[in-house]
Amino acid sequence: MVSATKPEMPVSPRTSARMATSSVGTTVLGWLAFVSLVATAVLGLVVSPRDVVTGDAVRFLYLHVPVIWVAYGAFISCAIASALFLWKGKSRADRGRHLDRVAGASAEVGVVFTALALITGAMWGRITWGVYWQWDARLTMTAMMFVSFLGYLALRRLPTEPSVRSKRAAIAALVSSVNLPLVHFSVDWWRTLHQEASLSVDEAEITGNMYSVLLFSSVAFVLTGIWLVAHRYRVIRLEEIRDDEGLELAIAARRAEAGVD
Amino acid sequence: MDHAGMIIAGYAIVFATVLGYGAAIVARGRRLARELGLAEGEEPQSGQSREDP
Repeated sequence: MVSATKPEMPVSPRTSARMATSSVGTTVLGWLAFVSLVATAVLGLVVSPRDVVTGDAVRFLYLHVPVIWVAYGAFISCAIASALFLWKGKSRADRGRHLDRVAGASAEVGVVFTALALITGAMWGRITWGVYWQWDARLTMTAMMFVSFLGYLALRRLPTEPSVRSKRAAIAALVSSVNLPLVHFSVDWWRTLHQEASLSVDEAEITGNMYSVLLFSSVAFVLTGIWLVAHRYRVIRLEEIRDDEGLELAIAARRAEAGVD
Repeated sequence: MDHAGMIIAGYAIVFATVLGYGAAIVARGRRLARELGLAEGEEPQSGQSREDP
């Protein structure tokens, strides 16, 4: 039986468990997110009044807008972590692995939330426009952003040397991030079917109860997004530990076979 | 409520996806933790480091 030899660095079971699954902070955050999501469903489906123009279709606002905001935030986080990885990664003690994990976890959450934005947008469009999809600037750019970050996630799964994979992924993240301003400002730069921003610094398109419900649902989805990124980060870290251990065991086995001490 | 089916379906898709994705991540984390001997209450095996370099 061959065992891998590693530097002794004992970790208490309590610390190990936190690293593995969750901490007190993420547990509290998770429950806060869950309760606020349930409240969002009640507020959006029951409490919110009908809109005078779009009627009950306004209830999609409390899903569609917050999920795309979370997607934006996740992709911005991915882009910043990727840029820092390329800039400072080599000089860091962990060779930029922390930044690479942040980028990977954020991008995956961003892709899930972009998919939800596309689905809820299509359903909302079916009610207000009469069609699920139009090759409108906003919709098309969002679909392109979704596909480009899917490509980024595919790149992260390629079987290659981890540092090479991280570098390629970081470059792909920065290229994909070019879509972000194009998506956001597409409604201002081109004539589109999609409405302009519901909330802006100068003037809000909605007020009263609808405004309050939109703000509440945004907080709920942001909390959920942060919780998901934190947990996905930990899973990536555990996967790295497993891969490192597997590699070291394989090397030790080969050395034993060859009779090398 | 007008278009009740479409609206409720939208809410169901969003909440099911978010909760399902969250549950899948937690389950994967716990499975990996068990594989690596990091599950709550388990001592890491002697000579094994769980910390980053």
